Amino acid sequence: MNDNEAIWLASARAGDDEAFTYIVEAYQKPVFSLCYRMLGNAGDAEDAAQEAFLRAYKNLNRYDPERSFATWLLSIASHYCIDQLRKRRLTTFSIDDEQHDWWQPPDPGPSPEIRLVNDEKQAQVQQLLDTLPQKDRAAMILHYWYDHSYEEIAESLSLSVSAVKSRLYRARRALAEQYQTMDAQMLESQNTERTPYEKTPAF
Amino acid sequence: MKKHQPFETWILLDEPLAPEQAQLLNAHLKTCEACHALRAAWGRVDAMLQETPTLEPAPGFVTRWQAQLSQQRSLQRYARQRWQSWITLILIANAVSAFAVLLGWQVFNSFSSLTEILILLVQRATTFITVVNVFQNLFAVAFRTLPGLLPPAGWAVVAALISIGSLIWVISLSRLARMRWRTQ
Repeated sequence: MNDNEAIWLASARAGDDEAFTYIVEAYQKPVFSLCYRMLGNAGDAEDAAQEAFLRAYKNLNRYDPERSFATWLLSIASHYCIDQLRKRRLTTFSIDDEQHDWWQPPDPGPSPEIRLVNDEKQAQVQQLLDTLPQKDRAAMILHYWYDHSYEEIAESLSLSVSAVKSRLYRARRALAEQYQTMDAQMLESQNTERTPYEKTPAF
Repeated sequence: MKKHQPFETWILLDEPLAPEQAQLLNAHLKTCEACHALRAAWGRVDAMLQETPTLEPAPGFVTRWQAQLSQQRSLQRYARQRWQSWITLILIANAVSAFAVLLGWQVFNSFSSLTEILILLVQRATTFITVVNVFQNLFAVAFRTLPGLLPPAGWAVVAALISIGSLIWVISLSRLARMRWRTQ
């Protein structure tokens, strides 16, 4: 945490809304990204990120300045997303996975071809993450995108360090196996597409 | 499954292996197709996770957050006001009930018997009916004589003036109420 953040946090704790706005500005990207990786679509991620900031602001007096603010904030976001995923599992209706019209993915800058490849990669990563249980998914996200240590993940997700290690191991295994399945399915579908042509006399 | 251990663990471990472990793993990978496939798959997934960038929200996230905060505050204020209104109403109702009970008790005690109370009630009712009758007669006389005092056009002007006055009163009240709501 830099000096500015410490000042903003102190002012926000004293009831200055404007000061907390700077915090929202500084952390919007990591919080939104975490929510997106957890929930899998931009609309839900936006709602979750907004809610995480509101909860953080309301509970600012509970924040211990000795701890990392980022870890505390991401922990609020993770717990909220885990709750949302639990609720989602309980609902029987189908979930609209379409992206909202107003949401545009960040402009990566490069050409449309590279962008397409990036989007495909994003989708594939999301597809893989969606197969993991909620807490395993949160642990993977915090570990890979936020470089959180085992201790920080344990603190964020209210787990022991050994539980974090075993969850990460289990998640890696599940992701590798899922990737193998997806790869096999892709090969199979490619073969099925090719077969009709191969059967024709010209081939 | 057992025959792939500890190699599977080593493949999926997040920490670097000791040189002897790495040697053993490499030797095993040459002979075990399943472990070889697992390592290749995890290698690809790991690379994908490392390469995929952090996502950004749509522009205007902070503005939307500020709007949500202010909306939540308004809702909280509204809920608090409602709660305060209910408390006030309950307190007033209690005070009125207590006052009525006390008054009733005092009135009851000032009379020696129930017959005395009944006689007083009948007297009051008679007085009330008489007063109403007097007013009824007065209004009847006024309705008979007043139309002759002003021509129909004059009455139309009086009615118009009363309507305009009422309209101005209603508009002023609503504007004052709106101003109060805005300043809250």
